[in-house]
Amino acid sequence: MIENLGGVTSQVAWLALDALSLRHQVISHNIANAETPGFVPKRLEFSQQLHTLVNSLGGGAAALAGTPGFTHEIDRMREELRAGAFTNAHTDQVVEIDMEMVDLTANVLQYRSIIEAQSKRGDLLRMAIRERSV
Amino acid sequence: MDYFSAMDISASGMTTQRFRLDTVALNMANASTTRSINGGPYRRQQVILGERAMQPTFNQMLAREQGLRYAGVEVVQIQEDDSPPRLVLEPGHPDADARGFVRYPNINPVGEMVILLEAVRLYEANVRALNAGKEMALRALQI
Repeated sequence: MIENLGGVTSQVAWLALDALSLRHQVISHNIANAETPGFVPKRLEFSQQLHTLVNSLGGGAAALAGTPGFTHEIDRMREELRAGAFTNAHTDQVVEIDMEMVDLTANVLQYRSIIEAQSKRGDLLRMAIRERSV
Repeated sequence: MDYFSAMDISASGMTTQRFRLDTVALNMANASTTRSINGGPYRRQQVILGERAMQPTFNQMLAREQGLRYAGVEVVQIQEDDSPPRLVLEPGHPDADARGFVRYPNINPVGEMVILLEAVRLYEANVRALNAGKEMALRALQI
């Protein structure tokens, strides 16, 4: 319901939030296993797929927003995420703790910025409903 | 998304690093123990870590359904270091052998300190990851 209010941007943003919190788990797992012999760190990369998904909308983004087809695509990608589709082994075979910390910080910042944007969007909506600034 | 399961990962990391710290403390405390419980000099204990698999408990299965695929780390084994004991010439010592050598534990304090430092830093890293997860969860409440 709220997803439809926000349109296509919201749907993509929720998906990105889900993916980011999954990525947080992957990074935490890498850090926890920093000293495990033979452990190959993993990485969750989803920006490419998200790009493809958004680009597939073409010029008719507004028209497609909230349509069953697009919602279906979003759900499919979310299922893929949960099934671990975008999780690959790291190119380097050992956990580099500093790089993991950088990834962790970047991940949190990305998450925060999406939430910030979404809450601004909510403010706009609220303004429209109340017919005055909040 | 289930944030508590994500925190479990960091918690498992913290637990194992604490365990390593405890083991280092045990080794350091027994650095000159010539009579261990098993007889002979104390042997250095080393912790072997392994990637933890998802447990078949209700909570973990639920988390798995929600997309969690990682369960952190666990202590697989505590192994005795088989390297030979340190021989010190102390003819008057009650545990000295016929040639006057006392067998002291195979513990290198410098090596133990390195493990200690590493464990503390990794503990910190896990705490950072935990805090990052906490912040994400709190942010999600602000939408």
